[in-house]
Amino acid sequence: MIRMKSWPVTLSAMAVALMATTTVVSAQSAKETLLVAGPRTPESLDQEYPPTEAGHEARRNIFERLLVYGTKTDENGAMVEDFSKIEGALAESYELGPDNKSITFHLRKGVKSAAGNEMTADDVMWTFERGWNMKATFQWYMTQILKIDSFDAFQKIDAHTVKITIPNPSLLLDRLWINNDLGIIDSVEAKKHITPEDPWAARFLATDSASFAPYHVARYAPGQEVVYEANPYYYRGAAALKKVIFKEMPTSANRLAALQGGSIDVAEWLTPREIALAANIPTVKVWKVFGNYTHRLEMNNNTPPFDKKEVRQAMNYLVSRPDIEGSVYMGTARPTKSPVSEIYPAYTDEKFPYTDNVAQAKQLLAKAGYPDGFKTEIGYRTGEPIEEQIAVILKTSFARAGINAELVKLPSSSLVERYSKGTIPMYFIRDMAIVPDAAYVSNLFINSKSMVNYSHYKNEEVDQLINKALTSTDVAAREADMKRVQELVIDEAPWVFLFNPGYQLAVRTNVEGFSWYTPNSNSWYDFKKK
Amino acid sequence: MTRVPQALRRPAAVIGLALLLMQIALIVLAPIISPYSPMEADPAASLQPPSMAHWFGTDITGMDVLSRVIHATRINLLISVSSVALAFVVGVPLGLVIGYYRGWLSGLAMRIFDFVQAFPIFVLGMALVSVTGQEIWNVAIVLAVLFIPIFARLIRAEVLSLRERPFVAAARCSGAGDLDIMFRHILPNALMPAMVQVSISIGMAILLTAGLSFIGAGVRMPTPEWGLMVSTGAQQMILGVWWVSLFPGLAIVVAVLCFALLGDVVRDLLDPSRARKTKAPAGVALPVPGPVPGTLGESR
Repeated sequence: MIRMKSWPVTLSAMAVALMATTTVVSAQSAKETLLVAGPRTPESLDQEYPPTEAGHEARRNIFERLLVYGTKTDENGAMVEDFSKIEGALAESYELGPDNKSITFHLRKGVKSAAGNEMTADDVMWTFERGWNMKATFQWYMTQILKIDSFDAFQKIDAHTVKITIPNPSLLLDRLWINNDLGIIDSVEAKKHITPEDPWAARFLATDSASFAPYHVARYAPGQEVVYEANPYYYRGAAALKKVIFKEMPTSANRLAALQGGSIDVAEWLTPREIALAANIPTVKVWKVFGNYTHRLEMNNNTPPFDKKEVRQAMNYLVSRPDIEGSVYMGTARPTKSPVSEIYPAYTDEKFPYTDNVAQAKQLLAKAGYPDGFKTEIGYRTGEPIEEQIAVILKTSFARAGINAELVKLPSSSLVERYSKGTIPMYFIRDMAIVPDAAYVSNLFINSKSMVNYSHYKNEEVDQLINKALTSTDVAAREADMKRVQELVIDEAPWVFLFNPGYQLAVRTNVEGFSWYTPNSNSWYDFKKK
Repeated sequence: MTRVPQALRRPAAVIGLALLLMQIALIVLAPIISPYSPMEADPAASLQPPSMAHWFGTDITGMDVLSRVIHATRINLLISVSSVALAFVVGVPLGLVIGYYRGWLSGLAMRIFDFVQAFPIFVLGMALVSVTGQEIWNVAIVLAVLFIPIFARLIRAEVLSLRERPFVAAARCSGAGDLDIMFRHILPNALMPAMVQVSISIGMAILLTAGLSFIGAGVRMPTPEWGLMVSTGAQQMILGVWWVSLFPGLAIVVAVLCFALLGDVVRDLLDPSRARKTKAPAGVALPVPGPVPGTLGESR
């Protein structure tokens, strides 16, 4: 009888022990898994693919770069980059040549990819060679910013040393290598996927990862999800979050509802009103940083009526910025008063004259030969409620001076195609320049030779000043020149200057460790769950 | 004193006609009775709940929802009525010809109709609007393309039966030509189901216009259109903003109900014997996208 009685007790004890173990494992797993929802999955995982917001976030997590900025904590407790400190990452240290015409990287030893391959100078050289030959992002940086004209500029010194020599001096020679698009590839792993038709493993790297980063991609299902898994060999120590699952949820309201319901831990890209609501939910914390975005309405400066400076200025005088700031952005944005981001050195807004002044706008339009206004189009992207709101408000604003603006809502790819071909007169662009340098920003957005200067703004003096600054090491002269560039651009108004919307992120309160980097992409290595 | 037909004395008919009159009044008087401009943004008045100043509240750009709902009656009915009119004008003669002559051309036309009707209606609408552009008339043309097979099939089905009737043979014996037989003898007798379908199709067109706009393939912002208003408001539902979507949604319900009721009225007026047989008041026949039941059997 005693034995009979003891069986159920034993079985019960075993069941309880099993349940307890399962619960502990499950709790452990939940604490190590982060569920994130964003508007779209990355279009490609390759660094050579044109940069997009979703792509930048993937690059931040699955690529590691040679250098990084030091970090500091801002007034809200967020970890942000300290642009005055450059530190080693995959390169343990570096030396600049005395004339700023060469840089030598001393690579960190013992760095391993998720595949277990140890990094050497061969990985760095193969990454450079691949980028150079694919003639996309990497080559653009090298030729446009560093003015390199031959691959001979890149030199392997020994198994852990690489040297780059450039034809002209550049103040960007070190900080460029912090850039999100310049990660180092695990060439041993990538080369396994090379074929005669695909000598640079482009097909593999578009959908998978091979780098020395904190994460690698375990699953990439475009339009659905990306699953990141921690690299156990990561040189700074394996990430606290072992798995990050990024889910595509195109509607921002759905992301907020999922966050509120607890089915996700992080909701990206909520609208300002949703951010305001989220801030009042007890289980949600909202992080806000000023960021580096410029959200602007570009005009095609090549075609009438926007080929006339007075018309472009008039458009800027027809914007009631305080009204938009209050009703659309709920106070989370600030007006943009320069092509350069406010947080970057050499920024100035001293010469920004544009206020909401209909009389002045009408006067300028009359001077340009459009006293009764004109008809035009404003293009904006589907799935961008903020752009639609601003477009509707601007339509009413412009109508005060007789300008009849038709609103054209297009899928992102169609809008890009139209403004690339110059077939839409006005269109919204939200963009940022990753390198915190006025010459870099100006070169990117307003140099007439830039491939992303879609407004076709051209001013000889501006081009000369930018090109001079890119090859100058005189910090004071550079700053003066860049202020002159901003003054000229503000006066000639290639865009309707709108807002810097800032960057906000809503997380569950058990998620800690928010950090902000210039590409406005989250680095999951910095996050952890309580 | 003229006696009011039985069909018009039913409660459903009275309600349908009253709703139609109300909508006509809104169309005619929109500029007078709208308290605000329907397309003028006022950022300072963004997302205000219903109040004395804004009876239906304001949307996210500060546009007055009541004024937009009133003006949207014009756009929605313009698109719906014009698309159905176009489909009627094209579909009826087409159905008459392919029903009368039959042959391989008739077979080809029926397969084309099958293709158009087998296509998911919103996918087809989106594809056509994205090719032709988000203009009011393009939306109307797209809807007309979707409705032409319905009218053509209905007429064809009637014609197939009528062309064998003695009065057609008599007309032919008396020397009448094909056109004369088709348009003078057959068409007047074949029109009844198409007339009923007109009203039902207008209701369908209102729903489809709203649906296309809801998914972003209809008219452009800030044109006042019910589906577009529901769509923009839906994004703010989670913020507790219900009024931006609710009122245009109700307007859609009222408009569709109105034309569904009128469809029954038209049927009863054109076929009083059937109306008399129906003891209970005619039910509300809500429009169902796709081919009209009973016409499929005629397709070959």
